Amino acid sequence: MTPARPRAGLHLVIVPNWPSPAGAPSAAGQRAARLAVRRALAGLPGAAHARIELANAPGSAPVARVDGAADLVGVSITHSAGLAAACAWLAAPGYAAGIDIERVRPTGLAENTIAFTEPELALLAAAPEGAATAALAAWTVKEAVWKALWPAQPPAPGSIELRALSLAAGRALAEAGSGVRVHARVRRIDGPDGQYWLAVAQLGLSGVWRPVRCVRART
Amino acid sequence: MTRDEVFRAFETNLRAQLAQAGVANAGSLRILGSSTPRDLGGHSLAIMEAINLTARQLRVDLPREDILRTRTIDDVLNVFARALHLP
Repeated sequence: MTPARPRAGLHLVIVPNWPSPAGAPSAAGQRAARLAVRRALAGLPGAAHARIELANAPGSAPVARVDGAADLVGVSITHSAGLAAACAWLAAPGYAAGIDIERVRPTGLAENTIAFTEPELALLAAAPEGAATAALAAWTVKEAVWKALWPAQPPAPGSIELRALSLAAGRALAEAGSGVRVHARVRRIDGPDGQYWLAVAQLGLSGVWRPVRCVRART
Repeated sequence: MTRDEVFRAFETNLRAQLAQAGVANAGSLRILGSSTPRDLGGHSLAIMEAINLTARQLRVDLPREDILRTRTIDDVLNVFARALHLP
């Protein structure tokens, strides 16, 4: 299948998750990924009947193969408790995205000096929503940015440094160790078992933010 | 304190954090020294929280950069062992 007049956009699908053993791919996440890839491909010749395979090799980012081609669509997958989500995009040089969700729950993140640097903790402490709320949202952003940076990731999401965070505006700016700056959007969404933070990061050499087209699907 | 005791303290905290993250088999999950975050469901927040909780319980300061470079549970335990001057 050859790309023709690709639909610009980052296609995001959110689905209910169900418990899966640790270490096994989330079946709901895989489903969300297939749906997101379908939406990213929509409008391309042959897209309706394209065969989509997902691979998730250890130590690697997920790969979507479309009729055997691994370089047509990018995909990022996440799951947490009762929700799973994925985003997919038509591949373009220098462009990548990452997604993460976290169920809102009590954590000690606002005082976690491994997860955050001192300047980051100060940023969180100044958040109008409170440090605890901001810290979980900030971690979700870090994870999304870390995924978007594949394969040139720093060792761990904690290595990503948050430079700005506005939960009211739903925006964040993060920096990787190499000085690469990545913009992210973050918002609170409802799930079957409470609220979640959802973050999407986009890395683009052109600096263009692709419009996020989000749908929620049932099981 | 021994390395095994550090492992048990960390393991207890990790199981609790994984359960909070919605991992179905958090109580019976095999947590080995060779386990990576991916083996544990990719819940890096749960692992980060378990490390922080364990460090507080053991009253030890861990070098942040060393922890961020770890890949496996054994790597994490090595950082604890160095900080606690364990043999």
